[in-house]
Amino acid sequence: MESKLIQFQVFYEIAMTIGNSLDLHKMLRSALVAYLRKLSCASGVIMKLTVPEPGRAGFVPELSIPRTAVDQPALKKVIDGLPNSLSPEGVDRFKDTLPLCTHPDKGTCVYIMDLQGFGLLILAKGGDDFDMTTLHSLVQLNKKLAGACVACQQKKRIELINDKLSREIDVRRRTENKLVQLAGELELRVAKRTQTLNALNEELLKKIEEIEAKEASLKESEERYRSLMQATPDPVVVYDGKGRVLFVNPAFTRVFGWRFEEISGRRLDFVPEDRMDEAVGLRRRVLNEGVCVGIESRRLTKEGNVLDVSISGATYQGPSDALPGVIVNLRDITEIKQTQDMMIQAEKMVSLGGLAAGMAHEINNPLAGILQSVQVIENRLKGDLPVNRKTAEACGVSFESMTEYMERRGIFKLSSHICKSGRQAAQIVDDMLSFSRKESSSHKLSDVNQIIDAALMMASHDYDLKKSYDFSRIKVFKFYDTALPKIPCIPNQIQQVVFNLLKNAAQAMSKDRDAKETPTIQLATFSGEGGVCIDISDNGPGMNDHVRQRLFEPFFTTKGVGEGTGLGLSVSYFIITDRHRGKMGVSSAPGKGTRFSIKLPIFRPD
Amino acid sequence: MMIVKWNETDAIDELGAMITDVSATFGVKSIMVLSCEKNRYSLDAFNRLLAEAAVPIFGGIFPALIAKNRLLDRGNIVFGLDEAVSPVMVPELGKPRVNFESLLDELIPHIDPGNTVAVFVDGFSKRINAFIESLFTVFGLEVNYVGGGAGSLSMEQEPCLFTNSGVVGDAAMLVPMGIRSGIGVCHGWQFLKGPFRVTESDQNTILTLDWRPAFEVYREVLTAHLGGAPFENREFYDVAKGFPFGIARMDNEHIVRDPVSRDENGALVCVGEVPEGAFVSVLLGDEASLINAAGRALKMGQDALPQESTTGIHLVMDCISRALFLDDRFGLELTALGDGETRVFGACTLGEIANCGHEFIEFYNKTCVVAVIEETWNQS
Repeated sequence: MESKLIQFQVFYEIAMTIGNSLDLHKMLRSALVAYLRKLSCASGVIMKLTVPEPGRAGFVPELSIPRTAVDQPALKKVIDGLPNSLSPEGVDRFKDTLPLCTHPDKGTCVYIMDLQGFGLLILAKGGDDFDMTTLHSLVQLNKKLAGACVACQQKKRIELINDKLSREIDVRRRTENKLVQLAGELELRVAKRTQTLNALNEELLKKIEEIEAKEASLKESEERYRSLMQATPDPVVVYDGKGRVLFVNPAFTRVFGWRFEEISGRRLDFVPEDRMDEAVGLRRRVLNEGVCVGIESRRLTKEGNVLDVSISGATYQGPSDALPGVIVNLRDITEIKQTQDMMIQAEKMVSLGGLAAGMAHEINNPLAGILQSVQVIENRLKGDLPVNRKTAEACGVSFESMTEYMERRGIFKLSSHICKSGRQAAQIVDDMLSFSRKESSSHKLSDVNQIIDAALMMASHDYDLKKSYDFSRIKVFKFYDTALPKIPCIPNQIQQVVFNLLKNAAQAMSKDRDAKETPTIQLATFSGEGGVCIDISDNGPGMNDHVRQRLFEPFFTTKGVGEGTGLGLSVSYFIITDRHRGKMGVSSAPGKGTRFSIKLPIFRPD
Repeated sequence: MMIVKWNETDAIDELGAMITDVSATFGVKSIMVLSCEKNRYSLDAFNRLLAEAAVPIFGGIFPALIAKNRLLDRGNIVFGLDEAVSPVMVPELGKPRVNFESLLDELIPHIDPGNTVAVFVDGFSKRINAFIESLFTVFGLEVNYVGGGAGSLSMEQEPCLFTNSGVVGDAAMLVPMGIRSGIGVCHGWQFLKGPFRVTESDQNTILTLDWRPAFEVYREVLTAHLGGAPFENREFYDVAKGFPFGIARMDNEHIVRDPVSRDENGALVCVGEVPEGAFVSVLLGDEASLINAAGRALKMGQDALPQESTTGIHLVMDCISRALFLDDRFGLELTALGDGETRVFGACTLGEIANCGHEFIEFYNKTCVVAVIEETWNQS
């Protein structure tokens, strides 16, 4: 057979064994066996190009058939002679020299051929060498083998990647399964827990309902107590353990003027100076005894007004409080006190009236005698009567001379003075009698503003008043309620009262040497509950408690002897309270001026 | 090497006596027995005989034996070896996917280089080629291989290899021997027609050639060569024995594949595997070329024997089909295998196993393998 045909068959059969598997070792084994069998070779080695480090490329046996081929002296010699530690350029240079044929021993020819991209193919052959045609054909065949090797390597890489991916997928799948399992367990647990929670929920809802009910009850109770506190007409203030305000009720604000926001958390400065010691003692007493009730004292409002209060206090301990606090009820008894004063005054006046009634007759008779006698004396001395002249002449004195003598000697002044004093005494008796006398004057609907204006007019023209003080120097401010209703009253008595108050104010201010302000009287009228109110206030020197408390007492006066009887205010008080069933009060403090407050009922008090 | 005794009878007693006699010979440490299939020993009797052997015993049952210049179809040849060999049986040779390399590593961890390994296989086993490849891969050409396929000409697979343990089939037997040899392989068959591509095959069965039923193509070639209808009214092998297939290889004779039968699908059953994708040519031979080839095989073997060795015997593994082809002229081949002095013993095998010099081990068909064994024995 033609050698070419044999060559064709041989190479074809070798080629058929190349690339039949992507398993490198399996493919190489199959191919190398074919190489050896078909080419009548004794042994073959596939060398792989490795690059453990850059610039250190070399060749290592990948497969040898027989296995011991690399140890056979001839091949070993060739393999050991292969270059190593090659740079990439060195590898290329070496490969350019291939295929190589060497005869390591007699009878053996070793061929070193390039497997491009993979390494080398080494074949050991006995007998005749390959001819050039065969060698060149082998070179072509080797390219196919090299490609198959590279493909197997890629496959191996892909397999490695696949393996890795498979492992990862496996891990993930297991993790997924685990997650599914855990999710299942979790669901079970959740279901169980949900069941438990539902049960707890129900229980909780029940408890919440109970709590809500209790809260509602508590809130209701709180509301009730708050409402009570809010509604209580008495001012209430709650202090903490350090005496700071924790709470005040609306009544407190209404009576004393401070809003809670103004004084919350602060000490309340509303104890008058003269009551400080009393207040300290009271607090100590409350803290020691736990409670105290009905202690009468005085407290100041925000405007500086003094109020009579009845103080009741008790300690309390909050759950988080270290020190006990104090809850204080301050009942405004100013009116009660005033009323009491009024009643006392009224009783006094009634007593006085009774006394006066008893004494009036005894006094009036001699008084009448005195006044009559004085009148007769004045008539006999002053009056140009024929009998007076005749008698004078009988005494050898002319009437004119006698009159002049009397004049010069001030006898007429004296008699006038006696008359005046007598009349004054009579007035006093009359005044005193007025406490017991039933009023005969009738009430009529009157405009209070007009009555006050009339009193003002009187005051500005009053001679006595002028002597004491020039009323025109007093600034009078009027704050009249123009819509004030008319009230049933005895106008001249009301006028008298107003006059008295104006006179007292003027006199007080005239005596105030320390006054730095312009003396001022304010007159205000306004509607009050069921009545009409008149406030007459001044910026005079004011009065202390002692004076204020006795102000309406009959015969009580701060004026000097002969400057007043001490009955003016008593009578005024009597007129307002008894004759008109009104109310009259005074508030004053030293240096703070004085204010008289009068309230007259709208309806006649019958 | 050895003492050799042979007989031409099928009496098992005689065999037993020969075995006893040889094993009793001073210096004999193991025995190789080649036996004719037509002896038809009962398995039990044979096994007993083998078990009772005083020394390690191994061998095979072959279609015929070669004793000096004679072809024996009955009888036995008993070789007394002066070393205690350890035959290694590889069972289930035809079992798919058996890793013969691993098996060989396990069974024969080491083999001394330069030795000779007798290799006998069941000639009808399916994976002889794979076994041979593994043999080469594991041991390479450090040793010489000589052997062949045992079995029956009836083409039925039967137990045909034996050791002291008994007779087995579908196996391979390896017997490393510490003797040197020179191997010669030659067949003499020549190109007639081809190549044809084996487009489909199943191990030793060629199904299609160039996508045509194999027998069809084969018949065409023979018809063209012989004329007429060569297979009509004739047994297949009667015709085919003169026209084997040959698988080409570089710088060497074709590897012959002997078609021994055909099946109803037109496939051709060969002795030995025919790989799919291989190219096969139809070969032919004549008396002269075959006998010439035998002479060349001897020459090759003699040339290959190390110079310092003395020839002991010519151990011949000659294909039975050559004997059948040459018929009564086979004796000429046997004569060509001798040099007038050296004893020629061997077997007519179903396929031959040998490596020729620096070449791959092959499983040959219709080939003459001569192992020129060195003499290690002072007695003859």
